Amino acid sequence: MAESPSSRIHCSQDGRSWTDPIFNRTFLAGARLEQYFKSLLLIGETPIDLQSAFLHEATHHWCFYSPVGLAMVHLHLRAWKHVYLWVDDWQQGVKYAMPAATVLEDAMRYMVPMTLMRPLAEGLALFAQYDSVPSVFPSFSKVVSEPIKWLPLFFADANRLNMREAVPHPRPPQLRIPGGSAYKTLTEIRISEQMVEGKAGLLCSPFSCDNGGYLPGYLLVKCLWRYAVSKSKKFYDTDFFLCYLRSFFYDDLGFVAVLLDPYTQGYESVNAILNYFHKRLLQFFKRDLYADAERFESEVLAWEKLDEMGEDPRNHGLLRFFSDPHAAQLGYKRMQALLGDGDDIKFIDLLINRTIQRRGFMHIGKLKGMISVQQEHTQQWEGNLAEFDDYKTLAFSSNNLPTIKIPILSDAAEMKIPLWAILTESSHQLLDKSPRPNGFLRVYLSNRFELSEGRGDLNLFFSWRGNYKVAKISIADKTLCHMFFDVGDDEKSRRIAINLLDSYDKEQEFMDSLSINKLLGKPLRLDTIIEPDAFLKIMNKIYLPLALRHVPQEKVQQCIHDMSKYGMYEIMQRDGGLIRAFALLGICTALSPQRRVVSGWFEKFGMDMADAIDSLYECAKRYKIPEISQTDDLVGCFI
Amino acid sequence: MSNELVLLRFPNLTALERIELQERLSQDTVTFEDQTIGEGLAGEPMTVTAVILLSIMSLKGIVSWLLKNRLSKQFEKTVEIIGKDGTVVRTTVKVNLKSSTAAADILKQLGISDDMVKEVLNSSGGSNG
Repeated sequence: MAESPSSRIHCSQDGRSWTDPIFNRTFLAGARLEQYFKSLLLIGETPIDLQSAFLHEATHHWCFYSPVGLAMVHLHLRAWKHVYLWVDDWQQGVKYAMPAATVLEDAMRYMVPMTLMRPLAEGLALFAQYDSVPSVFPSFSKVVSEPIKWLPLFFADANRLNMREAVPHPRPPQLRIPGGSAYKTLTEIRISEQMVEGKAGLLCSPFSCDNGGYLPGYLLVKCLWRYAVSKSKKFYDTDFFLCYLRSFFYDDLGFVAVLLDPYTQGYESVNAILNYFHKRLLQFFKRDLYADAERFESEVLAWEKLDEMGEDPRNHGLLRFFSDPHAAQLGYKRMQALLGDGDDIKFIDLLINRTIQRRGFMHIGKLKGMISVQQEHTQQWEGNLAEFDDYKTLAFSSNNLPTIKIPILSDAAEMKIPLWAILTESSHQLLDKSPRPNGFLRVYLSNRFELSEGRGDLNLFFSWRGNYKVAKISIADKTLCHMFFDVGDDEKSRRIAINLLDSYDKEQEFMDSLSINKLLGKPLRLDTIIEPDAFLKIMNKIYLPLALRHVPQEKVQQCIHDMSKYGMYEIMQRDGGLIRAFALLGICTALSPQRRVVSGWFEKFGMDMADAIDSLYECAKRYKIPEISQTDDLVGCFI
Repeated sequence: MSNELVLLRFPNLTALERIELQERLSQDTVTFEDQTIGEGLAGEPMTVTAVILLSIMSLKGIVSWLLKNRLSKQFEKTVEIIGKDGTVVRTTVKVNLKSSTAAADILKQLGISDDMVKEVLNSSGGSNG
């Protein structure tokens, strides 16, 4: 097991988009800024594959932005800091032996849980992609997952901005509650060829924890959901279940206590981490999930209220009830000690601190191009800026095509530019000339803003804490401005963003160029402690039987064997058409259990739902998978 | 088939598409490359690119693959056509399953010569492969 960039990247199922758990930066392959800049920063349409990838990566981002995620990242950065300081000292002539044991211990405490939890992380992200739907019925839950909340903010297509718009068919149209708009958006995304093909591909991927363990992770999450709904109807709200499950694993301060345990070392630490995680998985089936669901909901709502009031919810003992109280207290203390570690003055500690703080931003993409800041006159502008005699323009173009051009209407450091005055993209059309769109872009000029021309960068970020998107434009490493498309009105939050993002390129480049491996000049090998093949076997032993929990006990090993190479393809009569029908059934029934509605969606693809279900029942005779239940009016699918 | 064409590459294939393509082609005509992640980072591959050596039999397999088990009657597939001299042409093949000449249309879009199209279709035993 070696510390490598690839091992820390959590991918979208199409294998192109990724999230880096350390920096929590995300690469959305479909986010071609040249093409979709207007849509991504401002308003407009974006393709389905991009929205789907966003759901996947946003779920990773949300999971890693958690106590467990933070503890792991701190450990990695502490290992990095030790190596950096050692190399730095050597270069300055202060020579001593590298603190290898300390570095290895921290690096391992990052690698082991990250690798171990990877299938679960992918399972949660896939569940968000294919299954999770916020309930439109108040009797279920008022809790909405962060990725679902971000969806209409990120893809700020104007007609989806209102989270309270009427709920579409088949939900009762009179309901006007949160989740309605997201439901509509999710239906549009999921009942699509791309999504069905994607899920069919997932179902045919190897049933092993190797290479991300997508299928075991997904089937495990589905299995946990199936169990949860048998205990509390609240979990029929799949988005609520996603919130609960994410919290159960990633908010677990008991696990934080194990990760930061100062009394274990080497094998002991590895075993402690493995044992804790395995027990945690098994513990799920022992909990009173009915009581948990009620308490979880009330505590999440209390958390959100405290957050709205500007208080730090972390200090109120919320969301710790599903951890052992003593362990949770220990985890909290150890985390506080870790956060207080370091020096407020040293460059390296400041850098780590800023890196940690920046984890709240999703980096959507970077575009290289030409920047031009020019003095302009009213008649040269395509819009109506007659009231301004004299102003500057800031233009960014990539591949000789304009991406954005905005009028800088004053010399003030901060200004609001009306959306209608912004020119975007290659067509260089005004944003919706008629009717003029409401709203504005907030532009914050840096003190280095001046008439200039040259090569530069445009970075796009999304802040889910602040509910805004921000584009940073820089020329020759100098930030010229930050542009906010903000649905809120939180000036303090924007100022923090400017402070953190101003040095993003420089600091990220610094940390990328000086990773542990690069500093050492060779990969940091953890093989002496963890043998990769043996570790994979342990992971398979943990995940695979649990993911097939509803397969008859005596058939589990044979089923694992049959699914090892091509997933469910072997047990579904090697029939690609049937796999696609099965993928579609799973997607549809997650959106609506009503036969009539699901049947209609099947017809859209020229398929007959009843025929597909008959064939799937045939396949299920062997291992009881797929598991489908139906009545005259309803149909359900548990994968 | 144009004499200039030697390879076809189909990127972004899912695990299921890979299996279905593999079943229609002989082992020595197709290889699968794991797709890597961008931005200079080597991520773990979740999709593959199929690299197919052109022959009458492989074209027959490709046509059969494109015409079967599709969710939509009309769809597009990105393909890279690689010539003997190494030139790469990236194109999008438009497939219309409703058309009685769907197989021939696919082959033409791949730049296959008329004679070779006939040969592939004849070996497939029908106009649609």
